Amino acid sequence: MDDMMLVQSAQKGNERAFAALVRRNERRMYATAYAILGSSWDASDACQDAFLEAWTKIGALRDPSSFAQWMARIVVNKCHSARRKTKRLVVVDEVPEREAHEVIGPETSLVLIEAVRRLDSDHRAVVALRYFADLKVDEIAEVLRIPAGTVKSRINRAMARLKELLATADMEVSSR
Amino acid sequence: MNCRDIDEVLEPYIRGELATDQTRAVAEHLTGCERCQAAYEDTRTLVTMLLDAGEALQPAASMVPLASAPPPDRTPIRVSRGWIAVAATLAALTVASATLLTVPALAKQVPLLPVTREIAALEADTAELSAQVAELEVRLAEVDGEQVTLVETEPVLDAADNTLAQEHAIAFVRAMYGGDEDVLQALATPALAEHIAEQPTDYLREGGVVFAQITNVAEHEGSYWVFIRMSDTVEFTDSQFQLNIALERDGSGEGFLVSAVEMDA
Ligand SMILES: [Zn+2]
Repeated sequence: MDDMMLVQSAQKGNERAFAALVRRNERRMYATAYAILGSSWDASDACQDAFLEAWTKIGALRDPSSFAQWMARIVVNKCHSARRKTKRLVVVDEVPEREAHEVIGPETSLVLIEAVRRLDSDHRAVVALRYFADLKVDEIAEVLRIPAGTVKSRINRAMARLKELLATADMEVSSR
Repeated sequence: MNCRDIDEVLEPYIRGELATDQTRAVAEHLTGCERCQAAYEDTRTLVTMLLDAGEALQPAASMVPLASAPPPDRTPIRVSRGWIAVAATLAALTVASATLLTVPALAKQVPLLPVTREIAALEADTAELSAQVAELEVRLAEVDGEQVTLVETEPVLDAADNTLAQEHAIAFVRAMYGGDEDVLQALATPALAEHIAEQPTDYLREGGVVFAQITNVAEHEGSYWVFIRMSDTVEFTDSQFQLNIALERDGSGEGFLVSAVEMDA
């Protein structure tokens, strides 16, 4: 029932424990990557890469209770390299396509995710780590290598902006 | 603390990340300031919705990187459409109103935590809530002596079995919190009982339990599932989580045994 025990077990090479760990964390990590990257397919690739790297390096995780933070850091790094890659691509007309996920939450969650995606990139990353990855302020500061005070003020500004966005009626939910 | 200070710390207050004295100062200010109370409610709603949104998308591709990994033992649970619709509406309502009912005396004994305030506010709203609740085909039911909100699903069991399955699930949760390993094993299938014996700490939890709402029984690949939204008095004083309890018919065909327990934040 506890990530920490699964981590300890995975560190001893228990694949089943690691698989369980992935399944418990994949939705939050995916939502985080999706918020940061804006593309569900890129987010899916970034998370797959991230979990693969996590499996090869889990032995090096010193504090098993900090798995979520450690994992989020890997995801954020994968997102950064994904963005560097896609920047070089020429964007052709976007073809409507299936998303790389299935929606299993309520409509309100889609509205929220859409609103988060409309924040500017600094605020988006902080909100994604705070709420989708469910990290503490200090943990976010470490992952993003910015001062905790900056994290706090970005959270407050982002929350205010989200309230504004949600108050405007023209927020359309993409239900693709 | 003045109102401007409160604005700065509402978010970490709601997330339970302030020091004790600061938490107390915020709680005190909130009881006396309508303006900040309104801000608290707004932010609290947003916090809940954002945390829920983090679990709303299931990546289609497998994220398990192991070639030799066993097939996932937790396939996404597909239940009847009726259930999903009700659950979605209910989730929306839950978000709008923070928590639905069921506030045992247990929670009230914890002073100064944000949840205690919310409970006070909720009790005032009960009349309005019950109207909404009725509309959503959610009804209050007494299950095993506990008032819980019951979510109607398309019936997969007859009424008597339905109640029996839920009582069984709740008894199991009670034993998890009661530290009663023997009872846990007795209520479980032989396979799960064996796992409980091996890893009792996976199943035993600290503190008291606060049931919030429970769905009727859903069926998935021959198992019956009871979904229980709840919080507890130690780890989850300020947020709900969900226990998904899988049940199978016992040998006699008349009762149930717990075959799996999953926890969703
Ligand atoms: Zn005030």
